[in-house]
Amino acid sequence: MAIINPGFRSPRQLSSRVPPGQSVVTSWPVLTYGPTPRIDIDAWRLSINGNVHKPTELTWRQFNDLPKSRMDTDIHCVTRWSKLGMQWEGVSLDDLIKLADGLTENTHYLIASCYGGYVTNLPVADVMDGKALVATQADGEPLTPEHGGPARLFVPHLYFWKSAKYISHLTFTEHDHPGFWEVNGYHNYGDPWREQRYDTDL
Amino acid sequence: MVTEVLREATDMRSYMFAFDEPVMHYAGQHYEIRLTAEDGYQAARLYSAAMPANGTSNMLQLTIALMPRGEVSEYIFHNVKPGSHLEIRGPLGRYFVWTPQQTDPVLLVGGGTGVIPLRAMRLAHQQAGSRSMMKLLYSARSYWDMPYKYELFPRNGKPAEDIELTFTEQPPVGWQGYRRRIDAAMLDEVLATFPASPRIYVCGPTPMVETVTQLMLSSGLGTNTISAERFGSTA
Repeated sequence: MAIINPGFRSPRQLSSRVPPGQSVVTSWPVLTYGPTPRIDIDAWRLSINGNVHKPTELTWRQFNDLPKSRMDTDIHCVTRWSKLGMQWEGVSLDDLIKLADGLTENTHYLIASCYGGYVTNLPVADVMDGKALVATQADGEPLTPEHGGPARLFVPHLYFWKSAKYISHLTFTEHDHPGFWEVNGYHNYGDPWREQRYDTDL
Repeated sequence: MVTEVLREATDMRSYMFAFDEPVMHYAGQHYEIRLTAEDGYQAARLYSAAMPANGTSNMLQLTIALMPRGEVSEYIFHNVKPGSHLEIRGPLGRYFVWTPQQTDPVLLVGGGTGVIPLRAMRLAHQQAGSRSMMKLLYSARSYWDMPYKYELFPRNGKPAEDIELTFTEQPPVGWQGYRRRIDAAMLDEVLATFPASPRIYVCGPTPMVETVTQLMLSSGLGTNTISAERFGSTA
């Protein structure tokens, strides 16, 4: 049972676009658990490996020659801010999986690993059918290092720690491998609409 | 239940909570305060624990800064008094923590209200009687913006020996120490007092954490030795 706090009132305008417990921001907060890594764009590689028919590695130029997809959407951070109406651009995971000649049978998870050592895990179904990008632009500008540039995973229907900054490896697996925050007290799936924030949430 | 409210600094207060159960968390962990309106609307914010808690007490201290247009901090500052009840969840987060089992030297670097979890780490270090080296480098705007003065820098006294302070806007009268933002020279001077490269915890506003962690990488410290907690936005 929640404690009712006398005199505490809801703001006048509440949007049905905002998941429970989130507040809308206009600025863009930064959350990263360590230093922002320094990435040499000439040495940058994106590997698509694990349970794919043709493991593939792309240079920055090869990656940028791929057709781009755009997602107009909101983002939701587990630390309780949401930023509405953003435009994100990058290469869809569908296209990247196609480039690796598709997934093998019994592939259920994507393990996303990053420059700097960050790792996160997602069900494969959550990154297919237009639901995810490897993004390089937000609101028409290249992603800055603080926000995950040169490229980050982008899966906006989950809390934003799943949209791993500084992405370097997309590894498809049969079994789940909980990532950095997932073993440090946060939820394994992270649906903002069900408020799956911490590992004690259902 | 709130038992006490302490004025720590300009727009910063500590709230002492008594629970029915003993409180236990690692220094650096945070808690969530959730407010509920009569119509069911809820808002929640995260606050770092300001003191360690090893399960021997039922008290929790959260230090809260008043945020402009902050619906939760404004409510708390204006309405919460000793005897008030708040919904609190935690402890949360298991990454930005210091435990007494750690034996490597530690440098804590804080800016503004970022000192709150670092203060908990320093107290945990003291309470455990740890013999490992721990130092705090703290950047405050002014003496009046600095919480925990009674521990970190008693008036007319000197900063404690394990603390380096810098005041970026208004140092106290007679201040002889640093009076600028944390920069490479300051970091090098502090790091030079360590016999070996320390484990580092940095907490503060995003621009300060970005600057400090990049300076550290430039001076050769490894990414894996630096833990960071940021608050606020890019410009």
